[in-house]
Amino acid sequence: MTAELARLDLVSIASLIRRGKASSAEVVRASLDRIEAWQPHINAFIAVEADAALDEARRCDEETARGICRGPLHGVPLAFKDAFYRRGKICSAGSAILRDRVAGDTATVIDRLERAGMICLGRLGMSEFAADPTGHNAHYGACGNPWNPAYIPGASSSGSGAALGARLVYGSLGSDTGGSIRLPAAACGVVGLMPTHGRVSRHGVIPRAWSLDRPGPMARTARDCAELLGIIAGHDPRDSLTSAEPVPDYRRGLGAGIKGLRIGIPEALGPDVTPEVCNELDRSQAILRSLGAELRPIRVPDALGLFRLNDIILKAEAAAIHGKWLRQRPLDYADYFRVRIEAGLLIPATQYIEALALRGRMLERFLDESLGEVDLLHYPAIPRALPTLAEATLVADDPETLARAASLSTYTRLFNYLGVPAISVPCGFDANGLPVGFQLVARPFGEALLLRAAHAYQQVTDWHLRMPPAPAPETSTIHQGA
Amino acid sequence: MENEDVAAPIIQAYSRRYQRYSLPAGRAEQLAREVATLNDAVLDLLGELRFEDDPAAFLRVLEAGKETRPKAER
Repeated sequence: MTAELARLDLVSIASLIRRGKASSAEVVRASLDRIEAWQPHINAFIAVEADAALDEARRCDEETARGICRGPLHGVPLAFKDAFYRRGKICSAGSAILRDRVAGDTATVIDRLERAGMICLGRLGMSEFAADPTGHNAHYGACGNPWNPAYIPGASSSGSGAALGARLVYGSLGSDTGGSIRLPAAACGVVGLMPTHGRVSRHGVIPRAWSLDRPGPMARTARDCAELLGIIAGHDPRDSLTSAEPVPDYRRGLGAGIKGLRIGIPEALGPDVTPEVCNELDRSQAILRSLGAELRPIRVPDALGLFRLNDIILKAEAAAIHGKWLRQRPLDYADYFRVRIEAGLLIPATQYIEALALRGRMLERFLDESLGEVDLLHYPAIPRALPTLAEATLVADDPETLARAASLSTYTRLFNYLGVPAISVPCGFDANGLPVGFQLVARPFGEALLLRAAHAYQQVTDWHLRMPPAPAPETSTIHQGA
Repeated sequence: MENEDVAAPIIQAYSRRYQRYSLPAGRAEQLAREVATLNDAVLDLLGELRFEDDPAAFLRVLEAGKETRPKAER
């Protein structure tokens, strides 16, 4: 039964629990068993909260027996990147600096998921202060890819991607400042949705960069992401940047198909997108076409130029966020993290403001030139085969290693700058057996369309149904830092 | 003399004062190069910037963007 439960997605398991066909305790215990088997290999969790989760699951089951349902996630086990506050629990952001810091508040998104009935299994691993796309962490050990633990899982929401890929949890949250939801989703073979700027509250999420951070759902399917987004999205008086735009029922239109939908494909991609990745992208485009979508070549923005504008904002804000600790305890940061923050101390204020001021102009141009004739944009997620953790080792004094790691996010960062929503969907495997994903990008607040297209694609493909082979019990491949 | 060589001592002095920490050899030059690259990205686009553009313009375009239908439907 344990293996069968692991095969189910979030919406299916929630339905089983709600209808009393499976108990929450049984589902939570099965997840904990899988965590025990996988954790030595992929190091997805910083901390597992087994006893608390089982206690809560039993309470859910008692309520089910009395006809009480807390909400759509009643008794369903999830876990989150360790950047989301939960009152009374440690929230480390993958850092040594916050290793023992207990949150005094609960993030709005966590609060909404708790009200919906979810059970939290623990704190998932992440890059130190969400700053690196590989999955290395000098303080808690690197996170491995469940499809092959020697390879990177993508980051910064590395634990979220790895835990979902290994089927340890049914859903998760990431936060995306340059690709931190979409990169681990692509690398681990799951779905990750970065919502529109302002669609989801940032309150209680440890910031990477205030102007760019976007919390969002990660799960096995687009349908699961639709369920999670419907719960977490919407105005929050505790985050002044959240939009008052009403939240649609994201699951309602999922089955409408994509016949007649116009999807733009880039006239040209950079030479950094390898032929192997291009082949998988082409195959996914052919499937979308076979479903009735009309694919049109379009002009796309200069990814590297917008990447750098994003980087100016990111670095300047991160330097301000970390200023106090940079002054008081600079050596408590991993060296490779600190060197990235230090650049932010040197960016002229005028250029930071100009990068912000250009944002509206660049968005206007993107909406007109790239999305002017189409409904969605089809785009790479990660441009090349995933490197191993060893190949992606970060060395502060070797800028090449940092630039190489950063280049994994060349095709994700621009959309953080532009503020538009984007989803990463699994579409195949590379020669090393590691997942490949593609992105779809929509106009502001176009999440429902993204989810509908991704769902249509997943109805005729099975990439998201494939599971990595169970690890051999006697071996451990845990990685110790970068 | 390269720009980063000129900037390096200033960066080193600033870091010592701000972080109370001496940058390792070569780090100041590395930072100078990185910041110069980022600054170029803005300089390349300054011609696009109009007097009325402010950081809040982004939010206005974002809100308006959801209403704007693709050209083909207009």
